[in-house]
Amino acid sequence: MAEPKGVMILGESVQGNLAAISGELLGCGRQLADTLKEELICILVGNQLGDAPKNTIAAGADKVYTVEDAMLADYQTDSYLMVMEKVIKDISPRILLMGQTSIGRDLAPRLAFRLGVGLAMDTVELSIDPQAKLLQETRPVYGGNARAIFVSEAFPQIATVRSKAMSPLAPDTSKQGEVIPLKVELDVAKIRTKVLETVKEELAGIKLEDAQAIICGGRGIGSPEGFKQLEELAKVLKGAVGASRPPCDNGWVPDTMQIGLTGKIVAPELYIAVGVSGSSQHLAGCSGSKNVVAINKDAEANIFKEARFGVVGDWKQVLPAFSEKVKELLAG
Amino acid sequence: MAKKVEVVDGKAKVERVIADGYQIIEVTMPALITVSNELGEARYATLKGIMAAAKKQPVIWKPADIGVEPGQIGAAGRKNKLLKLFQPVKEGKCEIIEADSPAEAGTKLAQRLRESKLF
Repeated sequence: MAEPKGVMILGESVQGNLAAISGELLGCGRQLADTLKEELICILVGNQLGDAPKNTIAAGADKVYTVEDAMLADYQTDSYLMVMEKVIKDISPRILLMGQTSIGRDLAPRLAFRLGVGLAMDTVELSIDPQAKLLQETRPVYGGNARAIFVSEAFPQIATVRSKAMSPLAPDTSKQGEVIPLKVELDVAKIRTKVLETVKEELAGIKLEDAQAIICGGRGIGSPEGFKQLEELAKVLKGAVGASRPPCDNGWVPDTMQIGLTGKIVAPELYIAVGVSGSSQHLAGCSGSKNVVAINKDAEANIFKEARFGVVGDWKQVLPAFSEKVKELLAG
Repeated sequence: MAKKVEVVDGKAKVERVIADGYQIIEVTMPALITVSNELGEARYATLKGIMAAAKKQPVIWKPADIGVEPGQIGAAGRKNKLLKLFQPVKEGKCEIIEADSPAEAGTKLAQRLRESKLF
């Protein structure tokens, strides 16, 4: 392999649009590349990438490699692994970043093992040690109660990055960059999985990850009916309703509404936690929120440590008055 | 991450959870499948099962039995070095809205959020 050089990110795109996480990776990768005075490279894998390469350059990349093949339309472990192993060996980047997404979670460990290098998953902070020029990878450990910084001395240094942990750059359509198509021979016999069908399960209304206001219900809500009140408030605030783990485990709401370490990771402007105690696993999914508001009858609840505003009281009495006043203020 | 697994004609049919839904994937066996709590409830062990388990002898493998060198595993085989382990400091300055009744606190909270331009 050549001398390791450059910061590479694996971009994910849907119909030519870059996924939010990829924009965040490019924002973070740009800083790392600038510190190293090296290039920011993006690799895009798929079929009919459309405008994705152009969007990638606008989002910060200096160089974009594309691998297009009808067989790469859907993510499959074996085919993407073949592509990434070949590309990494040919291009030899210093650093490789992927999103902590269903693709990154699956691909990163396999790729790191194939290449015989280390991997840090679910990182929330990345920086360069200026002397050794090595990537320092910070990630939550012990269910989010502590953080650990790791370093790996084999190249590429691979990390997956948690969504919403990094900020994307404002798109700059005047930015110049190079798009280089690559051809990778796929050995069909080695692809052991086949995607038969992709089923979308969209929740009605605003997507949790995109919502600027989230009303989150916890164990304290007590029933599926309780969540109806949260939905009404969400409608007024043009936001979405989420839940901590107990309401999902109890079947009050679908699992797709779960916010936390094992659910969705959100970072809205306003996060209203109702009847949520604030376990570290839950906070892992919402601690990026700009303003946390907590309503809980237990004054000692951990959520108050995370909150900017709080009310200690039974939500059943607090919330109706709160919602009423919000409606009134918005109308006036 | 699977939420449903079925074996059909010697192949596993897996429903794999993705961000906005799921994919139905067919995979040849043997296959490694990770699962989450969506797959189903854990069963309670039956008395018969507990009795049967007591008689079973677990098989214990040493690294050499599965063909790996001691240097490849454990602390010696670790590729990532831990530089620092720490607990992030929380600022913790929550403004608790006090009022005579919970309903009044709710009203005051709404006013306070509006003043802070949060909605």
